Amino acid sequence: MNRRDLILGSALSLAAGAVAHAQEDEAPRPGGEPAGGVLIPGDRGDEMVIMFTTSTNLNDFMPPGLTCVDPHRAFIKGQRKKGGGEGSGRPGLQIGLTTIATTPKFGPRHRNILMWQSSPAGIASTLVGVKRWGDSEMTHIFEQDRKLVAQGSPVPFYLDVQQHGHSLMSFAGVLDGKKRIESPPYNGMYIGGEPGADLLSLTFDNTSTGRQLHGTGTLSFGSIPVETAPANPSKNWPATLLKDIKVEGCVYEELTFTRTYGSEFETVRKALPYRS
Amino acid sequence: MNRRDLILGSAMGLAAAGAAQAQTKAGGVSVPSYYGQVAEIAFTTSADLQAFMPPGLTVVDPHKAFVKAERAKIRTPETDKLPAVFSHYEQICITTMATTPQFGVRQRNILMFENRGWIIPDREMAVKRYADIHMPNIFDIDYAIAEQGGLVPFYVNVFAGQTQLMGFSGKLDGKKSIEHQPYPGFYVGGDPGQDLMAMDIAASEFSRPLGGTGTLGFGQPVNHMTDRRIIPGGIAPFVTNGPPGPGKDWPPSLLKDIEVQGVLFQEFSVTRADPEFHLVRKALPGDGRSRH
Repeated sequence: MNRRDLILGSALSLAAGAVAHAQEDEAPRPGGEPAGGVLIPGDRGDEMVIMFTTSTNLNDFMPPGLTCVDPHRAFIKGQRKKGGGEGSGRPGLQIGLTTIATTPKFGPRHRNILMWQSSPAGIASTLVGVKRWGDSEMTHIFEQDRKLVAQGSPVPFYLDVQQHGHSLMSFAGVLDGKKRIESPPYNGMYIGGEPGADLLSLTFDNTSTGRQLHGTGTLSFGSIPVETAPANPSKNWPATLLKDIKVEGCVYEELTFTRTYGSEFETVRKALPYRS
Repeated sequence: MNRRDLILGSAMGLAAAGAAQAQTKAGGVSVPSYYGQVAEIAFTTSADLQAFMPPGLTVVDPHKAFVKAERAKIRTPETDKLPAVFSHYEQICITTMATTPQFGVRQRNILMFENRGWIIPDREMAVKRYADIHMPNIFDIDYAIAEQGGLVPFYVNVFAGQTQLMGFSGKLDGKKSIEHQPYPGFYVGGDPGQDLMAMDIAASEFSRPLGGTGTLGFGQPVNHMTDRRIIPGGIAPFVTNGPPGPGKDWPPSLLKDIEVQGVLFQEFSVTRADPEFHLVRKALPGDGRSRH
């Protein structure tokens, strides 16, 4: 695994990056025929997107060369994904605190300014900085929930991240079917760019979202005592630096995407010197 | 919470049993008591399941049982206000069909693993044990994959510490291999010191079936304190090396020669009845530990 894989692992929470290509199911059918080339997405799952505004200038969290599209608008991506492989580990949650950033060459893409992973396996590289472990719980949405929302009965939705008894993030809301926001496009990401890391552009293939359920709620951030750094593109800053949070709305959806190794990364700029 | 609530909590995994009847929201929408997803894994075993029944309860087929691997949420006015960690649970039930002359065929959970501490309200109920449960979510895309002829991996792994107590590994291919297990209600309690009760369900619905198959095995907790007695005639509650019985202390590895007949993954919802309990027989003497 090279440095780019480590960065990718951090950006996408894939412990074993090599299994994340689209999987073409070649398992034999009972009659012995090939399965017929069923294309299985590299990642599939569900996510909760919580759009919010903050008085904090999000450009303070950007690495050199990357600019926020709106420095006061961000969103939470609470994702529960599984890869296309045979993994039998505990399904993990990945919570991304994300904004849309842009460069002249590659245009608007996601930039995760902070991520919490419920599974240690999701933290592929501590060098990348933005990933932290967090004990996370997110409401499951079942078919019965969809029926209830369709009948006009809102369904509670919670997303909580905590570490050692300290709440790091808490969302409490409802899915009521009323559309307040658009789900941000999931075209790709900017990753890396901290001192010592190349700033890279990542492009997703075959991304799709669907089965959306809209809602709203309240969002707050907390911290643990050892997070004391000021705003920066990598480590140790507390989520409480994001002030005056106002939720614009949320959308729950199912999500699939596939990564294509080799061609998915493009260099925005080379690494800047590492500061100790 | 009274004793019957505790029995119910044990049988159905409901922390706030007294409040779990169907909610009716504004507009007349009825919200089921709990709902989610369940994988039913039907299997046969050479073990005699009658040995796990309390007096007065008879298994329908002493060598046929099924696992219910559930991921579910409780919906009550109280749990609606709580974070997911206090309303969601994963629960693995090892279940067989049992019968009495008065109440007929119902499900009997002979052992349950729970991933939430709060869902085990009464250790005296015996069949519930805390465990770490791993099983994948099934999304809409998984149904599409199966419909196109693809295979969706599905597993259920149950751990206590480093020990695996149950492991299922299989594929969902959309092919029907077993029938949905009847869900007419339960028999609960009946261990020494407990009434044996029949429990009714007001309504249940199962939908979106996705069939498959796989292999299943059971393990046994390993510890080095199996002779550590904590009270005269009793043993430490974490010891699970006892003989077959309706209550505590037997390891799932007593279920031998497992042959899986198939797996059926479904969405489900259940609404509890009111009243829901009927007495089958009064408690027999004992406190649940008298076997030792």
